[in-house]
Amino acid sequence: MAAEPQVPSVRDQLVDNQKIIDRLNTELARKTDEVRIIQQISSEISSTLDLDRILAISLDAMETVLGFRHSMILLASGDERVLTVAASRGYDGGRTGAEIPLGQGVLGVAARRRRVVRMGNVATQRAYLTGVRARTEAAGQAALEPTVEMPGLADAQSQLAIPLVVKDRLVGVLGVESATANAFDELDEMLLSIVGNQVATGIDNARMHLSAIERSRQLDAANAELSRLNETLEAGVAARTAELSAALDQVRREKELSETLLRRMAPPEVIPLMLQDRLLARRLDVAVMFTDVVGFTAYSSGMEPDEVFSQLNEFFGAAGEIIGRYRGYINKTNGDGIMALFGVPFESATYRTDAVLAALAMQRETGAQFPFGMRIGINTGTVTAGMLGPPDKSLYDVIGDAVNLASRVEALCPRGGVSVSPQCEDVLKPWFQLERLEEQEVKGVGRLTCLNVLGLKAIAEDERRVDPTSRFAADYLSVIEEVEAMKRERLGVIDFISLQARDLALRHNEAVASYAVALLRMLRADGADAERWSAVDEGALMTAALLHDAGKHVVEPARLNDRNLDGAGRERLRRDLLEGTLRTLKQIDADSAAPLIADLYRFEATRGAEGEFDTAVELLAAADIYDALTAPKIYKGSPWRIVGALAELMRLPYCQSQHRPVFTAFAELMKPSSAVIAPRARPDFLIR
Amino acid sequence: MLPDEIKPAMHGTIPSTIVTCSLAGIPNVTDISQVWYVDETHVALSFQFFSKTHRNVRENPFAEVIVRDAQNFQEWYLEIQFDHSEESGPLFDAMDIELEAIASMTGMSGIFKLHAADVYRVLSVRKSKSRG
Repeated sequence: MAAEPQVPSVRDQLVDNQKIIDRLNTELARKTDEVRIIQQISSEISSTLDLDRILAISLDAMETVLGFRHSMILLASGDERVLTVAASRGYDGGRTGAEIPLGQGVLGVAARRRRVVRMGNVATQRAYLTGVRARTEAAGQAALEPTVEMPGLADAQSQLAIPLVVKDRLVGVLGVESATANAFDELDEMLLSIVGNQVATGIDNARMHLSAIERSRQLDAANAELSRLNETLEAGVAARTAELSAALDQVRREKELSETLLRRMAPPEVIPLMLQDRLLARRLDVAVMFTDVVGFTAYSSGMEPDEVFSQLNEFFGAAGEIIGRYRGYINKTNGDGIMALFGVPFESATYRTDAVLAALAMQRETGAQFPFGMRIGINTGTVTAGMLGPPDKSLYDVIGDAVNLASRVEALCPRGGVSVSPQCEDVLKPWFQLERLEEQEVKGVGRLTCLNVLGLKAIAEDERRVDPTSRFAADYLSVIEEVEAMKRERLGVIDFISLQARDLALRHNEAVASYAVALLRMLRADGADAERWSAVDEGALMTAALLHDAGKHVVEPARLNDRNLDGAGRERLRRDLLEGTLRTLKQIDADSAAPLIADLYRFEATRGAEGEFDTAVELLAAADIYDALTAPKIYKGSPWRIVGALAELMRLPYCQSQHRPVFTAFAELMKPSSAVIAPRARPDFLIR
Repeated sequence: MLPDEIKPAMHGTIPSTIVTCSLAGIPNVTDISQVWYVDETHVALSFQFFSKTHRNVRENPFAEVIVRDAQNFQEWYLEIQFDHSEESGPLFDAMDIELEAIASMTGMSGIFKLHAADVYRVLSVRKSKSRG
């Protein structure tokens, strides 16, 4: 049984109670302080990602807030084998950089075991074990490891070590120590553990941040290295490219040089074949042109040789340009004379008119530079063409009676004239005004009546385009004059010479404008659909017709004259022509015609197969296609006639599925009065 | 039974003295580095070596231990009786860690190993007369 309880006096009771109340108050005050301190440290730590700052804040708090005079934070290496002092307080000279192996000493064991270690008798225990060690060594009982120097106080009696752990990862260890025994109590341990958690998280975040920065820095460095390599590579590539392009330029220059040399031997088109030795002699229908400067020998006898050469070379240059413009080739020169070929090196449908147009242009543009003028003779016929001469001096040349006769025709030609042999008459007659020359006896040929070409017929007189019995000839010929007048007044600033020479010579643009306007007027006069026809602006129609090929001057003549274009090539050419035309329109401030012209190109690209078109576009398309079809060429071996051209027009895909009054009316306008235009089922021609 | 004021004497600052007696009645006196405060009625001793003390208490569980407070050199006399031995758990860990910490500092990690925490029940506590 329990002993009789001793009853305490009331006074003792009160004293005891007061003691308890005081103790509780003190504890409460300390707890409150602790909470405040922890909150303060915690918020400071979590406000930064700067590792050094976190270490400083933590250790400063150890000393100033918690009153621990000696403190340090050690960080674990990545492999968690070594702890390195990252910051310390209360040691002379600091301890930063000192290392201890994991598992050694209070700090090392706390880190390894991830447990808080609080000891109040470290020095004593150490001394005790050191004694044991001495005895053990003296007895030679065991091979002992060397004693380890700890980085803190040499005589630390109390140590409190808090492992810094985040998610099982050892960050480091926080340690405080004191030379006084039992300096730290359970409350200190609890407090420091809480702070340690904050420190650990802060350090971990900062380290992750640092490593993110480091990764980013490494990434930057890698990027820099990569871009340096790229630059080096680019520089290398650039250097190599420059080297190669220099070499290429050299090769090109050499090629150009050799091609220049080769062009003296043969037309450029055959050079590739020639280089491959595949240029075989062949028979061709050609026009041969001879020119002669009248009285040049007498005229030049008073001149210095240099002057003679420079004048002749200037002439040959200009003549070569004109001949090239009309798809001809200067075969050779002989003194002041030129022999030029049309229809080489490949078959051509237009070689006769081309030769005559070139001859007329030469007389117009170069003839005046010689006091006694120039004679030009043209003959057509079949010749054999190929490389001729000894292997090292061969030239592209033609052989045949046609060549000799051309030379004779030139001899018969009046000064300043262009003469053609009689067999050209039928082909040339529709477009050119011809004059019969006196019959002459020609050696080896017999009697010869040559024709002198006076010039291109006016459209109105051009029977290949305008039938004298047609409605156009009857009612609308005057439109041509209106068009010419408008061209002079409204478009006088435009350099029509720069447009394609052949179109210009044949007055294609004027023809299209005249036909379109005449067609519109006829439709209006005929009464039906009056509203539709009155909606078309006549001036705009005329302008669009005159300018629809204004872009031809931006395309090289060789490309325009290339007869071997495939579908894609034609498409590209058409696109470039339209682009050039629209650009030219902008330059001459005639942008308003652009939509109409663009639609015309769209119509012609598909021959109207896709979609419906405005009346104005239909008018232009009918006129433009018709004039292209009646252009002076031999089509499939037989000359085109107006009726054939109109029949082709009616066979356009655009006219196949529907009644097209504009096209029907156009046939009505242009056909010979007695003719019937019977459209056939399928179109089988190409519009160039 | 153990008052709070005895705790400083159990921090091992000054070695403690333990007296045991074999079954045959032969006493043994030796110094030990620390007596651990477990709770108000228990203390613990570290079992590292097979020592005479260890052998004696396995034969005769009664022992007397003198612990000393380093601050005032107050001595406390405790009569204790061996109760049980712990080879794991919080008490064992706490003692093990401290031993490891010190041993590692003196290059004796391999030798000073805690085999067990021997827990004794406190039978009586007596404060020595003040040594004024």
